[in-house]
Order: sequence, then C-alpha cells, then structure tokens
Amino acid sequence: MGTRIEPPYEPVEQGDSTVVNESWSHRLELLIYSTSAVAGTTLALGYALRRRWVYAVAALLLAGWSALIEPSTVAARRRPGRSVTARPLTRASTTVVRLVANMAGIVLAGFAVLVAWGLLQNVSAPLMIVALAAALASWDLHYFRRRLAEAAHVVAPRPIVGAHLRRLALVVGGGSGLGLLALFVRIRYGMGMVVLLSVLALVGLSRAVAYVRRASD
Amino acid sequence: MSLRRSLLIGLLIYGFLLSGLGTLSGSFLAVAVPLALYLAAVLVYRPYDVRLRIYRRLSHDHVRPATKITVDLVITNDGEDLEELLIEDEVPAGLTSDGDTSLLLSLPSGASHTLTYHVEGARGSYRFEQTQVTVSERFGLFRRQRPYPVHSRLSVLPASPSLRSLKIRPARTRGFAGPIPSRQGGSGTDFYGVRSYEPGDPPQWINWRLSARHPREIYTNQFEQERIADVGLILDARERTNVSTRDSSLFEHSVEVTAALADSFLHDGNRVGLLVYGRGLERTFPGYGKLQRQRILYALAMAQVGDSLVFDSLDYLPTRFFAAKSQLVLVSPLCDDDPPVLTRLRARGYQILVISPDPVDFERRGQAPSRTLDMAIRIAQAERQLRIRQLERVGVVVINWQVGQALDATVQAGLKRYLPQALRG
Repeated sequence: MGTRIEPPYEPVEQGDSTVVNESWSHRLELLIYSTSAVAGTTLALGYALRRRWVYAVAALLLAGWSALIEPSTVAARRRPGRSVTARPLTRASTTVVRLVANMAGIVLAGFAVLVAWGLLQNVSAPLMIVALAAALASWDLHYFRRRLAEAAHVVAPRPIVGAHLRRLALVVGGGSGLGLLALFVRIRYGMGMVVLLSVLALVGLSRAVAYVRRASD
Repeated sequence: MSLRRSLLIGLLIYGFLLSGLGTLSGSFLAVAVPLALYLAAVLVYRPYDVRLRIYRRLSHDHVRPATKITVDLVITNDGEDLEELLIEDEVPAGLTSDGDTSLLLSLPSGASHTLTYHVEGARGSYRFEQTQVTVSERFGLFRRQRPYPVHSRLSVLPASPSLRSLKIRPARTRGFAGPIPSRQGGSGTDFYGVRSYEPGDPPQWINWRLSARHPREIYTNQFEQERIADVGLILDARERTNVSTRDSSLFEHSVEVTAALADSFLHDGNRVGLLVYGRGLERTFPGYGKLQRQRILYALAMAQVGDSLVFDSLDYLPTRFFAAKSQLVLVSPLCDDDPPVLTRLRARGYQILVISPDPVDFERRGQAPSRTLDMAIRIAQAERQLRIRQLERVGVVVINWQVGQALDATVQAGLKRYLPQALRG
C-alpha cells in the first residue's frame, strides 16, 4: 500500500464529474441529428437539382434511419453502475446490440455509395463533399457518444467532449475545404506522373490502414 | 470495433480513389479528402508511448462480513498525454460493488487519477487480479487495450460469536502454566491430594489435621497443576454432511463456531491447530496467540465445502497432525459412519469434544409444517440422537447445537452436563 498520489495538475471540478453528463449527452445527440440532417438534405438537394427524385428520397430516408438508430444504440449500451463482472448479455441481445452498433457504419457506407453514384450522375460535387463530410461527422459522433455511454463514469466530460468536437470540426471542416479547393484547382500531369501518384496513394493508404489494424487491438 | 471502423474508412477511401482513377474524374478524389484527413489525424495523434503505473489500495485487507471496503485504484501516467483512457477494474466474483468500477478520462503526462468505489461480500478470500486499460486517440479508431496485473487480496473473515472459557480436560497437557487442570500434583489452586512433607514445602501447605493423626509423620497438601493444552480443531467441510438451503448453509454456522472456539482456546493460552476436512486437508499448524488466531481466521475465510472420494468419511483424519492424547474438537453435523472413527480416536487417548450444528433443525426452518414433515423430522432426530448416544457411551462429549440458539449458552450448558463424567475421566 503506497501513499496517496496527488494530481500534479489542476483537479477537475467534481460537479462536472458524473455519469455521462445528461446535458452533454443530449447535445451530442442533437449534433448527431443535425449532421445526419445536413448530410441527408445536402445529398437530397444535389439529386433534386438533377431531378433524380428517387435518390433524393433515398438520401432523406438514410438520414432518417441514421436518426432512428441513435437512441437505441446508446440505450442498448448504457448500463449505469455496471461492473466488469456484471452479468453478460445473452447471445440474442448481443447480436441485436452488435447489429445496432454497426448500423452507423452501414449508414456511412450508404451515404458514400449515394455520393459516388451522384458523382457518376453529374450531381454537384461540392454538395457531395459537404454531404459525405457531414455523414462522417455523424458517424464519428455516434461512436464517440457510445464510448462515453459505455464508461460508467466520465471524468470531466466537458473538456473531453469539447476537445473531441474541436478536432472533429477541424478535420471535417479542413477536409471539406481542401476537397472544395481541389475541385477548382487544375494541375496537369503526364500519364507517368498520374500512375506514380496513384500507386503512391494506394500503397500509402494500404500501409496506413494495415498499420492501424496491426497496432490497434 | 475500431478495426472495423478503420477498415470501413480505408475501404471508402480506396473506393473513391479507384473510382476516380477509373472514371478519370477528380471529383472522386476531392470527395475522399475529408476521409483521408480523418485517417491522417488518427495516425498523427495515435498513442504510441503508453506507460501507466496502476496500483490498488484497499482500506482494509481483512474485514468481517457486511463491512464496506473502500477500493482506490490509482492510475499515474508516466508516458505521453493520453486523450482517451478507459479504465475498467475487475471486481472478483462474489463481491458486490457500490460505485463505478470503470471510468473514462483524459490523462495528461505526469498526472494521476484515483478511481474510488466500495465493495462488500460474504465470508471468503477474494483476489483482485487485473485492470483493463483501453487507450485511444480522440476519434477512438486507434485503440490499444491491455490488462494490467494489479494484485490485491481481500479476506472477509467469519464472524465469531463470543464464547466464554471452555472447561476441557485432555489427558496430556503442555509444560506451561495455564487454565487447564493437568492431573498432576504441584502448585495450583484446586486440592489434588496429600503426600509426606518434604523439606522446602511451604508451612501453609502442611495438612495439620492429617498430621495430628500420625504423630511420626507430617503431610503436605498437593494442588492440581493448571497448564495449557494442545487443542486440535477439526472443521467438517464434507459436502454430504453440510446442509444448504437457497438462502444459507449450515457450513457457515460451523465456520462461525470454529472461529469462536479458536478465539476462546487461544485466549486461554492454549496451543491451537486447525484442520479443515472435506475437499482435502487444509491445515493450520498449531500455535499460540493473536498471530495464530489471525492465521486460523484466514484459513476459515478460505474454507469451502467440498466433495472428495478420499475424504468422504473421517477414516483418513491425520492423527499425526495432533499431539498425542490432546484435546480434539470436531465441529460437524455428524453422519452415520462417523461414530466408529471417533471411537477409535477416543481409544487412542484423545479427549474429544464434538460441537454438532443440528442439520435436521436447520433444514426444518423455512418449511411449511405438515404431518409428513413432522414424522420425517421425528425419524431423523431419533437417528441423530442414537448417533449421539453411541458417541457419548465411549466418552465423547457431544454438544447438539440448534443454530437458532445462543452458542455460548448451549456450549456452557452442554459442558456442565458432562463435567462430573469428565472429572472422573
């Protein structure tokens, strides 16, 4: 038994240290709904401008589906005061939880397919970029909220949520900006250069994904 | 889950890149930029230097049942800043926790945090083994999970009801002064006999009345020496003898009695050893004092009912474990084939005291009365009385204890009933 170690940094305010602070949870939920709505409406708008009504409706339905799965996911995962030795979920409920948990990924993949199809149908590319960036943000926030719900106790949720949102805004905003910029920048390469850059991109991406998969548990 | 997520992002970027190359359209590449930046952020901020120091502190390492223990899990970050750290402490099965045993936090380099919760549990020995630690960057795509071994042990000792000093008379005692009459003349308080006066005898010990009747001889009173004894406690942990109901077990009462007996005998200064007989032979070698009391309580905390083909009957009771002609105290509900074994032990010179929690009475509790039940109880009690009589006939002292009754009163009354016989001993 050792002596108590005092934190060398400013301790977090106790009032903020609570089981997934409800207000933050609701704000995150609102953000998820908002980003899903932005993704759906932008995508639908793009298709509507090209008079592809079926796809516009499909985009809106996808956004609606995304909004529908959100509360059920957290409700399925949240078990207040649970301990590691808590009774495990039954096989059926585990399957349901897993299916519901992966819905967000399916929704993102659905948005990506609609975006790709839209680009092939000459739908406005800037709208597609915004739609996919919003879907990415919604997908990320969905998993973030789930991680917060999984922990019985979150120490200082305000800074954690704040830092997450700042970085997400930077990445998604920066990514959308760069993507939009890329649409208006024209650089001419020879065929050899295009092949070289493509190979580099594919190899680099393969290595990056492989590294994340290998190094992450 | 993070693997699937990273794979999904990777596949989407691949898809857009290949579509862009296939259609020679830059729009596909532009659409992939937010995804690529997301993946790049994951790689840049991934945790690569995870060095945590974790230790667990229990407010007590041994307690009585239904006592709340405060568990502090101190996590110190000796590595880089950790953006998301999920700590999940594994509570041993059998303990109930009050408070959160897992937490999510950001832990800067050099900082520490204490996870505090409370546990309580029934009698037993519990080992805290490890703590699950999951570290990830803010997007949770790159996650590292590993168990940290953080060992702690918590013993919930049995409750021991208080018991007054027990009057036992083993055939052989040890050399040190104590409370037990040793059947030897010498200095003491109780009259033992007379012998011829020897130079050096204190004058106040001279028996003047007897000496007056013998003009040529002087006689001196002798007193019975009081010494300490060797006491061997045997706890019967055989599954076949211990009745369990849904809510409680007779074995728990046996454990409590054994703890009370150990407490009482050690308090009187005796040398006490313990043998838990059932699943195997769990021995606590004889010793004295508070340390021995603690050893016995730890052994009792770990005692479990067990089933073993070898130790199904008391035939394999290791008598070499106990000092010759010492006092044996068996705590057992008793079963049919026990009396012959105890008779053999008695024949070898052991003084045997059996404290027998009544299994018939225990099982009767909580059952709706009926004529059939009454009849069954009468038959079972008759069999039990017969077994007890068999033992009493060979000089074994048996105290039948109905667990609802006060232990001390029952034991004292039972011993008093045998006292004249024991004195004749």
